Amino acid sequence: MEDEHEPTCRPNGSTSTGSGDDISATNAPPPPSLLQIVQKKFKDNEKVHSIFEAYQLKNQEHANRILAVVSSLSGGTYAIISLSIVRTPIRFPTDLTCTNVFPLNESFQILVDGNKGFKSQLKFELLTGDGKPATFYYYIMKSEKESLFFDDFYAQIVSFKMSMSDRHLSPDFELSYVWLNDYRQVGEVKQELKNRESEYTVYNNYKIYCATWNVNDKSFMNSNMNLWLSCSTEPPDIYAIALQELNNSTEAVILKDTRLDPAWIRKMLDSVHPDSQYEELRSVRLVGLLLTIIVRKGLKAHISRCRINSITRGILKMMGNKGAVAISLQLNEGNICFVNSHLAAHMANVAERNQDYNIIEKDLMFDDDQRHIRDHDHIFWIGDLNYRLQIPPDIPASWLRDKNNPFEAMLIHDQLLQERVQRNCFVDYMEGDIKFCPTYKYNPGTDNYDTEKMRAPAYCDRILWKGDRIEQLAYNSVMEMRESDHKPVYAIFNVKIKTRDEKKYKRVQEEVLKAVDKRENDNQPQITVDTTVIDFGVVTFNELAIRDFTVSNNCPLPVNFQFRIKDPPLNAICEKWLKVDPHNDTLPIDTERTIRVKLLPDVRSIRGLLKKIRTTNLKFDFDTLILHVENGADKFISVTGSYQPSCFGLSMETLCRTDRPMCQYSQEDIKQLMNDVTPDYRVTMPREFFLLIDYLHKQGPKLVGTFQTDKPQLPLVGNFNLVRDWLDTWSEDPFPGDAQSAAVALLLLLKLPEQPLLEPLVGHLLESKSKAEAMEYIDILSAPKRNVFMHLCMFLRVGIECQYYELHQVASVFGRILLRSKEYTRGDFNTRCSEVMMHFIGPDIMDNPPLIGNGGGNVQVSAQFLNTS
Amino acid sequence: MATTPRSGGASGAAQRPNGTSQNKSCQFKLVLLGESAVGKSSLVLRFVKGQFHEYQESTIGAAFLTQTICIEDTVVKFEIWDTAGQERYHSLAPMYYRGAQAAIVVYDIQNQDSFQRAKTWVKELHKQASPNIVIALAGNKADLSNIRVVEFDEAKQYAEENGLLFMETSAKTGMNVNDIFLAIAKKLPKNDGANNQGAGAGRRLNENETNRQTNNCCK
Repeated sequence: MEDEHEPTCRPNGSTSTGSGDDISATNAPPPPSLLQIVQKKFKDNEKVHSIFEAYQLKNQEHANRILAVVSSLSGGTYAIISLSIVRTPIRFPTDLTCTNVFPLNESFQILVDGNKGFKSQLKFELLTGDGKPATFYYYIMKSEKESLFFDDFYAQIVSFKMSMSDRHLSPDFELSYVWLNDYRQVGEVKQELKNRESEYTVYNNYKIYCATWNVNDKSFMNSNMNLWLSCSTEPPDIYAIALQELNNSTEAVILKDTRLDPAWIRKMLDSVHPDSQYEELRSVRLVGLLLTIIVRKGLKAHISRCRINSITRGILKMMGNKGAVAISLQLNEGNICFVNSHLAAHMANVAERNQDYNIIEKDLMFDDDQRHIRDHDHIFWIGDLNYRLQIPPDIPASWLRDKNNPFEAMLIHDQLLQERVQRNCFVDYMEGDIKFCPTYKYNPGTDNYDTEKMRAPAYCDRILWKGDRIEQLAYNSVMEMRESDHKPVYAIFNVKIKTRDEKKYKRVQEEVLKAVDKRENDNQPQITVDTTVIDFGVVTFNELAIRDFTVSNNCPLPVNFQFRIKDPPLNAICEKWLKVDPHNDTLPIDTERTIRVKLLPDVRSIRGLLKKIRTTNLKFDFDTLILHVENGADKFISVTGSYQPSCFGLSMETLCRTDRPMCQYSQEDIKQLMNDVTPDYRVTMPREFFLLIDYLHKQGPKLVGTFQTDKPQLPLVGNFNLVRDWLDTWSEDPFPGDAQSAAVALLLLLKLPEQPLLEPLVGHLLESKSKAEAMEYIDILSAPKRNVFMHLCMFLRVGIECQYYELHQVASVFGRILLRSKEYTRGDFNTRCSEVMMHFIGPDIMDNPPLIGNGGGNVQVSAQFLNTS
Repeated sequence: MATTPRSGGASGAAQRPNGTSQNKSCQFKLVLLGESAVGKSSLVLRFVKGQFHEYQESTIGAAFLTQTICIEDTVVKFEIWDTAGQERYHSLAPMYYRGAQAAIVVYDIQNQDSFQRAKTWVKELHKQASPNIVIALAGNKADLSNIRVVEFDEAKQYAEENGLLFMETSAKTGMNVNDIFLAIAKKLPKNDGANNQGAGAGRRLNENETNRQTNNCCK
């Protein structure tokens, strides 16, 4: 029987259950794998089949993604769910958030773009019918060993999609993607916010001051740099200060010196516009190249990302005497890149300069987010680009040295302008008109062109830009700074930086969230039930009753429903006396389903049912079922009716409080009797018990074969219910069964009450050392229990004496019933039960009948019983 | 096996390294409790849809609705479980308030019994709900304050003594309805935490929830 508790003591040497703390103490569990972490993002009935590492380009930003191929048991469907990484390393499910959902439905497509260049081969698109395809890129090398290779990922998706297409053909299986709604919202909100970006985006003006100077390996510490750095009328917001040939020493070149001297930064800070306060944001150095970003105080709070990198293009293309340093930053919603490059020197090396440029443009990447120079909204390329003025042979070399030449005339021969026209370098970059003298090459300390090597003057030092909403305000050189053989150059820009208007953003966000909430609330799957109360009417012990109710789906979605499992200790969808079928199901649109509820208060469940009747204060329901709609509300279904009391399951005390047949009592009456604790009994022992013993006693030899087990065979045989009614009506008719059925009824009468007959002394009796001690305990039982026990023992002794049944067998059977115990956990429970019983029904007792407090012999008890009835 | 952490996680928005923070977002489970016919469903309907029905049908079960509000730089999504108030269903209430980060205990200012019942709910929550639960007491039907039997000061004092937020509300006029949810959102902890749940994943109650840790955190 289910609620029977056998002592659980195991013999020595039984195997451990293996949960041992000793094991876990020495071996810490291994950290969860990425697949396990991803699995934890999902529910129990959703399985992550595989993961695939990819990245996306969002607003020119590279964003790493983990694509999880997930299936839902309830929906019978598959989907790819794109997870973005909140932080690394990924250790908890919370380090990932769902950004996009791609159900593998009929419209799903995975497009592989294979026939372009080397880079775009690693690109694919996911498309789910409604909306634009989402583009993903993947790496040739995978960093997670659990991640699939692309071909396997592709094959798996195709195979899952096909497996569902097959099932689409089956008319009685409806695929559901409802489960995906749980993962959809964040992505949806983001997408909608993005779509409405123009409503909350404003462009704020920022002044950006770019400056470049090739210092020719000279110290600039004593130069009057404010001539170069504070040329604007208004104080700029950002300075990008680029120096070249900071240190040409072989040592610096070989060691790829990247050390920064704080004195340089201090010198720059001392030289910038005096009308505002500035601080350094970031600097990056590579040998002779230095790029420093200085920002107006207060601006840092608006800068959310700042990265540096550099690339060498010097001797053997490995040394740092040429190359580039760059800084990438995000100001509000705008991404800005500053590049300081020193390209290949000498008149003839135009191709090398172009190559240097192209390599820098292609290879310089801000590693942590895989961002190239071109992936910025605003790019400023500053430096000694080293392009020269190349005049045709028919013009005398000295012509360039004439300071009266118009700049335009000279710039016709500028290699950079020519190469840009040819689209060999700086494609799509802009440069302001040059209205200043060539910046190279001067005799240091003078404004005179080089006389030592007679180098041709050239516009080596340049500032170019690329991007929208950039306006150049000034572009000039500073002749008065004479320390180097180059003149410094500066350019001032007004840049309109994309900025989120927080107020407008908040308003749009609220609208978007509201719309999403509304859709979510309005599209909740719903079912209707034809009743919330199932009335079973009068319910009788061991009689099955059946009721049906109907759930129907009249909402526009397929609906999954299930009965919710209730809290411990029940841990089931309903009480033991109920059966509900089915527990869960999927309802396609416009369909209904009959749910069958069976109620059977039987041997297994009567104890619990009577306890519930005894303890329920308000209206009694047999149970309340919780019908849960996936992604929707719960409905409560009350299972009600009234229980027609029977003697089975009631305690001997309760039965002794009755004054009429049980059939004349109501559920409410019996509840009162069960809760009555007064010692006022109407009879000395229950009439039902007495009648059974009386009948059994008269069966004589027919008792052979009875009391073989304390566990009657279930279901109870056909005439049990006749016996029940005979007892519950105090029938005058002949007993409707035989010795066997009477014996079963007796065992159940003793066995079914919530407390075993010998409670509250079961523990004491099981521990008792002697016959006398056990007898003392029996003596202090309640009168009904004591009388029943003694009467039973006398009846059993007769049968044993007559050899209708065997002493040890009967002692064991009745011992386990009368001394049922949850507390006694020792292994000798069965032995002890028999031993205790033997005191009372064993042969030696026959010689010395025990003293009984109230009652005595068989005859005497029956007489008393008859007197009171 | 433990799966998605339950309600109350926050879908994390990355904190920018240099200070400006993007919106945080948090998800909280909120349960409404109180005697039947005090106006629990009406309060939810007013809050979520801005509607009021004079004859709101009795809730037999637990209705589920979501509503998102923004406070300061945080997006707070409430998952609201509106429970049946009938005593008949009382034993099922723990399934709904377990794991909830917030509860609104509602009474009717015209009904003294409902106020006593509200106190019993508060006691039960203090004893059995998660220890950090934010509880608000709502004296509903405040539009009928001329025929009130529960005095404002009495309820307010009770709320103060028991650490509850307190407002008199009217689902009919809308008085204090948004405010009480807003006050709860403000009081809920939105600090960083280890657990979060992306995308509202698995926000529903389910049979395994008992074994799961809940958390009240955001990032």
